[in-house]
Amino acid sequence: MMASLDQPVALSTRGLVAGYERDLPIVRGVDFAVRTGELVVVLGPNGAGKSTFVKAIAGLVPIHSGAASLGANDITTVPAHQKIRHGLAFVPQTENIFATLSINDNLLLAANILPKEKRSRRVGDLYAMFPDLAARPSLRAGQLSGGQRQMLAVARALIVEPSVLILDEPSAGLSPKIVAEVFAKLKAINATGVTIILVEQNVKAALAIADRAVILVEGVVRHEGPAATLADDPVVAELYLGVRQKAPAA
Amino acid sequence: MQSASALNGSTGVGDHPPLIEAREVTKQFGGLRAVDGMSISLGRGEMLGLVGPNGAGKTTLFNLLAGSLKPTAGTIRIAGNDLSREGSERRIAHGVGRTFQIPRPFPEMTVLENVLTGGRDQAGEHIWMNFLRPGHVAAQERAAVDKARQLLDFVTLSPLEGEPARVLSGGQRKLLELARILMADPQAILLDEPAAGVNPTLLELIIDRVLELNAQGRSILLIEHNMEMVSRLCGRVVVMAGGRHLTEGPPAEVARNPAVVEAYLGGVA
Repeated sequence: MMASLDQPVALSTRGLVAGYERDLPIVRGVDFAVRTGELVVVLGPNGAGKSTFVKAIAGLVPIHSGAASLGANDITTVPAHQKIRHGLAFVPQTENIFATLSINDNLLLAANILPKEKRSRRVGDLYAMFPDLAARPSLRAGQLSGGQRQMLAVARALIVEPSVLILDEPSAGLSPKIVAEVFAKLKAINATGVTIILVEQNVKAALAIADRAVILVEGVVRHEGPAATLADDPVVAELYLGVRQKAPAA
Repeated sequence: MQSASALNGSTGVGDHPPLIEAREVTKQFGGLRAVDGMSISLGRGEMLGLVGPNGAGKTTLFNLLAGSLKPTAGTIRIAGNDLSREGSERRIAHGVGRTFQIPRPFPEMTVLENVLTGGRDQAGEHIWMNFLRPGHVAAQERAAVDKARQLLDFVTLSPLEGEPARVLSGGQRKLLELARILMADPQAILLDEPAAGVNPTLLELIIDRVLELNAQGRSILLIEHNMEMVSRLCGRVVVMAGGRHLTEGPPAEVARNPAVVEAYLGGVA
């Protein structure tokens, strides 16, 4: 779903400074906004602060200054476990499922914050959306392939019908074929109206499904624009490799 | 300031065999081939960069060179000796020291004590020597303490020598780790992302110390994502992607190589 500029802002940060230690901020003053229905990818070389940025929004890394808002609500100091109730779901890169529980129990556990009468209906909705999971609900999640695990993690995040879904490198460790399947599913989820913020290392694959991209370098936004434009922009390679790719025109 | 090897482009090989030479090294973890027929050599006195996108296999290669992992196939020679099947202790004995991306000092031991753990072949390690030659053991321990203090001075941590290591910042822990491996007098130092998580002031100090170690004639192999740092330090850089050797050459040249750009932006399967 391509969001238009007149859509309201779904999530934003203003001057966000965050990091594990106060004297060593990883995210150093990021202004960021994603509109309702957009799929925005956060790119940047290793150590740019991409994961720290989204973890800070999700409440998993301390925010030292600045603010984060979900719609009109300030969520800067909202604890991580409460953010889901505000409509913000976060899928970490690893340890995002319970490997010793069945697929069904993973989904039921995620549905636990819903009213009792809604739980089984939402699990059913998710099975309809992820037929691979529906095919063997009693299978232990630890026995799933890497791609299927990511699908289960995404399904768990979607069970509460979030307005914004944040994913931290869902393609990590997956083969290109499986990455394509995961990304196609994310695009389909986005088409249902869910706003998506995607942190990625796989630049080309991510730009292929995103509406817009933001590039972080050393904790600050160094470049941004429509994904279709950035796919051929030499500045992206410059920012990744730290070296000018083309000689300036004489 | 640039390293000697960055300035003259020398690989430092000369008539001697490379200090470290890996040939067709492979490391397989189940169905994943993390390092796939990789060859690399580190010349004497050379400062070599090892770069590549996430998941390229750089740290696995480091673990193979340092002896933390044994290769599934291929050979690793240190100063001409085949040590492919030998562990990290034997590599250290042959002059190879390595740092980790996330240093883990003994948190409750003092900074000085942590450095002392890097010493090798100390007579006091053998219980009977403490009874048979206590004077010799004591003299050696005094010498080790003197050397550890000199190394702490080198990495500017002397004022903290009596503090427990847990009080150190991430950058200071990297400096402590450097001092600890220098206790074993390595001729080749493998540095795994020394710039990661370090504030700019300490980073300049780390760069300065690495240049000094190289000027002393030690060879340095550097994994680093900070390409500016690689360009400042290294005359030659090897690029890995998908566990393989993709290309090598001067840093500015390889960074413009279309295959390298493709690998970094997700074009390599």
